[in-house]
This record gives sequence, structure tokens and C-alpha cells, in this order.
Amino acid sequence: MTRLSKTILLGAVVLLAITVPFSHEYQPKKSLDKTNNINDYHEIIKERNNLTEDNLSRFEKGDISKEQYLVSFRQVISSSKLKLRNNKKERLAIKSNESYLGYTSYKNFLLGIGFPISGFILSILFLNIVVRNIQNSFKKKYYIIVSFVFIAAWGYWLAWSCLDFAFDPIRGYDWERKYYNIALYFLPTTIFIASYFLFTYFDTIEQKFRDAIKNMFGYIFESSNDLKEETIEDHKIKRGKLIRETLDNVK
Amino acid sequence: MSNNSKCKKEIVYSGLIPEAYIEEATDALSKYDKLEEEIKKRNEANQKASSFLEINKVYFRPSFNF
Repeated sequence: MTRLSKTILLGAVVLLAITVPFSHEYQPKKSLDKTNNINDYHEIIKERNNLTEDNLSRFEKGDISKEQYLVSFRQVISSSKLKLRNNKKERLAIKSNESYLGYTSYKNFLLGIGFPISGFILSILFLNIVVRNIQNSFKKKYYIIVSFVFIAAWGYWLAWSCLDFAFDPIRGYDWERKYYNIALYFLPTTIFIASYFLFTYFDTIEQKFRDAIKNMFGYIFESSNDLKEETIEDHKIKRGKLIRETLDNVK
Repeated sequence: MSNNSKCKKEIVYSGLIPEAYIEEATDALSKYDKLEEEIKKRNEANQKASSFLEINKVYFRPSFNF
């Protein structure tokens, strides 16, 4: 992988980690259906209150008798009850349609998994930095334990926000509860072990190449004693060019 | 920071040159960098001179003939 593609990949991962927690901000707070349903609800209540007020004023003026008022009042109440029941049914249907992986909406889903994803990516990056950059073995062990704590904590949150909310009240859990609990601990630990070995593997390959380059340079400088007097300056410039090219390409 | 110490820092930081040869490598690298810089400057000066001549040839050509 070239240095440019490495930088682009790393930049993309960091950008993802930064933007994911705020992605829910770009989703609407309420859907159009939900807003219409709430407006309908307010209309029904307003209509019921107006009709009741109207009936009462007609009764007070003596336009209708007590019996007529009671009949009309009961009609208004039962009609509004029916409308409210339908409105509630519609609201529950909308809620069910809008729910996403156990969350009440897609916005809440993004809010729920945004921070765990960000923390999880950053803790994996931290492990990567520790494995590749810290040479002192005691310090390395210490920071690897620290990064395991980070990965375990954020991995637990990530697994929890995906698995626990995926519970469907009608269907129930797909597996028994204890398997969910095992997964919550098992997933972060597995990911930590896998990423540790992955980073160590790539680090080992890179280290092997670096050692090979170091050996070659060692040989080049060692053999400079065998050069003829008149070619020493030329070789010095050539060695300088070789070092410059190597430093520019391997960092 | 002088060119020499800058080169030494680069070499030590890269960890690609054996420690015994760091001084020798620094000397070679700074010499090469210096030479490169000189060549670059010379090329730039040549380019400027040639473009000046080109402009003179096109825009300031004498329009009269004897």
C-alpha cells in the first residue's frame, strides 16, 4: 500500500469516527406522517371542544331541552372517541413502520450507535499506534492493556446498542438472553485479539523490509573501503542519492 | 538548523542506516542534497535566460531592414 493511499484510508477512518456521532443531526426530528397524525389529533380535540361549547350555549339559551342536550353531548363524545381511537391506531402503525432495528426511528438508531462506533474506531486506532510505534516492551505491554480496556468498553457499548435494541416486542428475542450476554463480552474480546494479531502481522512484514534495507546499507558502507581513490567522490554522491530516494519513499 | 544536522536527524529518525555508518551517510546525503540544490538553481537560471531570449526574439524583433 502506498503512502498516499495509506494517508487517504487513515483520513477517511478518522473522518468517519468524527462525523458518525453527529450524523443523526441531519435526520428530521419528526416524519411528515407523524406530524400529520399529531395535527389530526389536535383537530379532533378542537372539534370536540367546539361542539360541546356550542351545545352548552344552545342549552343555556333555551334553544334545546335537557334531553336533547344530553343526546347531543353523548353523540359528540362517542364520535370523538372513535376518531381518537383511529388516530391512535394510525400513530402506532406509523411508529411501527418508522422503527429501525429496535429503535423508535432511524434518527434514534444513528444517535444510539454513533458514539459507540466513533469510540470503537478510535480505540482500534490507538491499538494500531501502540503496536507500531512503541518500542519499549514494558511500555508496550502497559499500553496494550490500556487499549484492550478501551476496545472492551467501546466494543461492549457497540454490541449492546446493536443487539439489545434489536429486541422485537412481538417476535421476542431471536436467541435466549444468556447468549446475548455472552455475545456482549465475546465480540469485543475477539475483535481485540484479531486486530492485535493483524497489526502485529503487518508490523512484522514492514520490520522485515526495514531490516533488509538496513543490512543492504550496512554492506554498501562496509564495502566503501574497497573503492579506488579516484571513484570515492562519485560513489559518495551515488550513495547520497540512494539514501535520499530511500528516505523519501520509506518512512 | 544547518543542512548537515537536518540530514543527520532524517537518517537517525528513519532507522534505516546502521549506527556505525550514520556520520558517513550524513556526509553523503548532505553532499548529494547540496549538489541537487545547485543543479536546480542552475536549471532555473538557464530557463529564465532562455525564456528572456525567446520573448526578445518574438516581441522586440527589429521591424526595419537596411
